[in-house]
Amino acid sequence: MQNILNALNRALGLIISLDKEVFSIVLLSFSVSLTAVFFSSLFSLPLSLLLALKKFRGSRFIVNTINSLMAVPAVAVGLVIYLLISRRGPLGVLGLLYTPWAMIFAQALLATPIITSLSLQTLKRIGSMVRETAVSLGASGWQMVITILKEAKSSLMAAFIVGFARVIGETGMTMMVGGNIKGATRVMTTAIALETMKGDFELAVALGIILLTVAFLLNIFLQMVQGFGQTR
Amino acid sequence: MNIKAEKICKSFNGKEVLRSIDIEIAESRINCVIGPNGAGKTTLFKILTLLDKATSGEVYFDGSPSSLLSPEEKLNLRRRIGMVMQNPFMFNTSVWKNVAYGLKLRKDRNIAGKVEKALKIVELYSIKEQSALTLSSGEAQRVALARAMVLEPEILFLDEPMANLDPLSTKIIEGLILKMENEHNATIVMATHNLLQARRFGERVFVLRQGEIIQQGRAEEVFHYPSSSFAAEFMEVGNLFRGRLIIEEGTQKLDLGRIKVEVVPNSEFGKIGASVFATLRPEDILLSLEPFHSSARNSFLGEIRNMQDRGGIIWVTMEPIPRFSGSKAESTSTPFVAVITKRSQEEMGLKVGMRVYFTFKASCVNVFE
Repeated sequence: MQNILNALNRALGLIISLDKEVFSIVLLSFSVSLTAVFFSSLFSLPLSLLLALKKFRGSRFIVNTINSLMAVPAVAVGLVIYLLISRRGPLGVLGLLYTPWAMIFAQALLATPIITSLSLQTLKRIGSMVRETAVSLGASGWQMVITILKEAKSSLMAAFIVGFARVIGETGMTMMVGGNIKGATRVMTTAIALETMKGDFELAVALGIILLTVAFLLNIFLQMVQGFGQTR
Repeated sequence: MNIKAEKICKSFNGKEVLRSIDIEIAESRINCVIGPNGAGKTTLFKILTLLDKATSGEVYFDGSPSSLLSPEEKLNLRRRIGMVMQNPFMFNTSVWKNVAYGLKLRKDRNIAGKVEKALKIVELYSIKEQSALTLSSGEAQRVALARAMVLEPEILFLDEPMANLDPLSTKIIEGLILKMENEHNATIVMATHNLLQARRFGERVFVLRQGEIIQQGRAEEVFHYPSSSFAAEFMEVGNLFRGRLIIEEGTQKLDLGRIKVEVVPNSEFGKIGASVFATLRPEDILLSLEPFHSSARNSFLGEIRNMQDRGGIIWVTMEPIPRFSGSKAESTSTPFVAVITKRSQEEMGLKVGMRVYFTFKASCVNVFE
């Protein structure tokens, strides 16, 4: 017990004193996961818009595939990415393995089915109504798409938050492709795992507190965003 | 703008919703498409406004087929056509911005002035800053109308604009439709399942039933010679009867089979022996447990067959009991519908199977051929 209290005490000390190492790990965690969600949304948003508004051959198959991909374990994604970007893999020449870009790549892949599926649900629900209204009031194709995104913004925001929460808390996959290199690819989750195994709880607890707080704040934010959306 | 459609068919997943529709919209007039729910009115409107594509057939705008138009030409055409949906979708923003939406798309120079004017016409200027998602259905319908009207379309499609609205909204919207047609010379196409509304507004009437236009023409023509199935579809109006005009004991009456209802003589429909339609509003019928003397010319004994609670108002369906039993007409059923408040029902102790007297004035019976 004394052990835990000591760790907690020193952990709080690290947080309050804005320890350089803690700070850089947290910063990297955020920048990797935010970038991953950004790239994922570049793909997820157009795809879910297309699936919600157009009926074409194979659209059902794509939707089913995306929904199944949500259940794929993160380590499997990690393995696939590892094989792709390892030195002998097809993308080996890019030298991505054990870089932040490898983590971004893997996290984006993990977040894409989640963000696409959640966005699709919303866009399907309101998409055709907004489209008909916008078009009947004289909207061109682009104006219509912008109107739909505006109307769906709180639900889309919720989809991004869920995707972000999923990837920032991901450990095994991030470790596999990032390598947990101190000062380069060490993020909150991988650092916690490593420090705990080393028996060095001080840093682990400090990062754990921050990670929990982030998760907590994200959930509050999510509920607020969904609350706004619920007026419809 | 002239809109004409030829042989429009539309199916959804193999189910035919519209079957070979030929329609030409009368310009600068109020056109009414009438038919029960599910007849295909909304689908037809979406095709005529280019919101949806027909499975087969062609829509012509000023004589040119719409299937040959480029996307830009289609956009320009759409911008001359307005459409208000039955349950209009409100953008998640203020009333003002909802109305300004179409003008912004067109980069109009006088957005503020036009929006203000439109909101004042629909009597919603005072709540212009309110979120459009908090509006009642009547207010939302008015916002939707203002939103379409502010764009000054040459032709305006209104899908059931007055279904389930409060009286004030209905009055405002009715006035607006007439004003648009009279002052702006706009063409209005209105879908309704309300016979009386179509009769009041419609100059040209199309009767849509199960995806087919079964009757069309000038309103007077359509109401002059309705087919029997057409009449049956509009029983929902309340009381719609078909009977023969007769003279009995020196007064003009409508022979409904079981009973004869006294009506106000009208030279226009005065052909004795003619088969006519009559409507009677359920709220014009008075129920009593005892017969009573009054100036109302019609009073009959009836048996309550059904009572339906529609939110505090009870719809009572009665079958009149003929005064002279044994007449051959006894088999024909002519149910009358009256509305009473829940309190009246409780105080009178009305139950299904009970006999009541129902009374109404001759002047409340609206006779038309």
